[in-house]
Amino acid sequence: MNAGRPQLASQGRKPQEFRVGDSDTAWECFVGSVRWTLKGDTLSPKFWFVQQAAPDPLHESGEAKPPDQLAQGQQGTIQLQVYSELPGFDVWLNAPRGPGVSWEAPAEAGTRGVQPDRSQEELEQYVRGVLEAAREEYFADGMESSVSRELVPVVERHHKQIAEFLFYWLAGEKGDPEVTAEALHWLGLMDHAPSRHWRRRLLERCLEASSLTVRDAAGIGLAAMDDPQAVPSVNAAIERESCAELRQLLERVLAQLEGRPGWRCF
Amino acid sequence: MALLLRKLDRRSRWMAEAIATWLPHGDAPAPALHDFIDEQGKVSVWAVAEDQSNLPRVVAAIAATRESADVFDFVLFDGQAVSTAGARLEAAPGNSPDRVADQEWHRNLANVSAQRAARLVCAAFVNGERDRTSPKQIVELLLEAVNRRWLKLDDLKAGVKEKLQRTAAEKA
Repeated sequence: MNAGRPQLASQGRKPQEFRVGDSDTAWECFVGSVRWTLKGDTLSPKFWFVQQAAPDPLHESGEAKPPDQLAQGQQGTIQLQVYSELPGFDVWLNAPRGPGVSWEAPAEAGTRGVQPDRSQEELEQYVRGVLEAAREEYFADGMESSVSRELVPVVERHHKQIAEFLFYWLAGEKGDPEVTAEALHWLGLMDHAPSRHWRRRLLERCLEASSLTVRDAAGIGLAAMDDPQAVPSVNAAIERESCAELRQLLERVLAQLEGRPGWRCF
Repeated sequence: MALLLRKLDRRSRWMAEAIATWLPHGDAPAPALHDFIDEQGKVSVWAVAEDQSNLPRVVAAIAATRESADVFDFVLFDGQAVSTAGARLEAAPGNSPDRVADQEWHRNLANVSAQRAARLVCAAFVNGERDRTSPKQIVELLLEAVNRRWLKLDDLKAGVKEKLQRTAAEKA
């Protein structure tokens, strides 16, 4: 599998093409994420799709869901998935062009294949690689990151296979606390019913972490999930918490889960 | 002088008790500087009225620039701290889709040297009021902002827009 920087082609009146990656994998495959920033005027996209260089007689090309409308200065991420039974395909994103419209080359696209029939070991190595590679990244609440872009699709597609590893890695504090905190933010924010139970249990376990950053992120994740079943764990965390500022924030999470006012009233 | 609001990228970098054993009185942890100065060396703040009446709109405006309806942490501090630190405020539109909030309340700090930035961060850390808006509240604030036409749903990033649409559908 090749992972390379996407290339840009913008000739004539053709749609601008971002090469996202090559894949030597077959079957269902998460290809990568493309970040985009629209520099020019507002326009409605019409040409967002993924092409396979090698036509697949059995399946149509995967589609990337476009935003409804792109406004000047708007940014976003599109995650690309391809369904194929043929190994060896190139994936391109054809973006719309128009007067005064330009695009920034996606900086983080690459090929990442995650197949349903991947072995447990391969999947764990992949996720471990994502979490270790993010150590140098700067994280900000509300903003996507390599962790969110890579981890969320894996959980959505392989939640049963990956749950045990995430408990081991995140609750076991095997990685960098900032990266673990970032993962916990997104595990709390994601809407994915099949994994909801173990995601909540994982966040509850992480309330016991030695790192304050991780404990705070676990509380935030539980607030995002808004699941009253976490009340006993949050109560216990408040009892244990040595940092007064974090204890106060956990008390607000508890109030929310119990249906009481706790957060600042606007 | 009005209050100033600065969003915090990650609140745990500001939790004093994590580093209280060695932090000198009146000082701030170094990671807090990250939350004040962007990569271009700019410091972006928002003016908040003394009665905080515009706080919900300012929070919604900033939240509308983000990629998920995540927790929103901020510090509110006395605007006087800017001149005390030797910097000055200048009106400059932000990048929020709420144009009114952008024009009326967004400010950039000018004449910010390394020492002045550090003084300002220390002032915000020691004397400021840190607060948090939960992910659930952020969704409510953004829904209200859309209902009041401060923002358009289409102005929001895809993930936030989907979350708002789901929440609105569940309420209905």
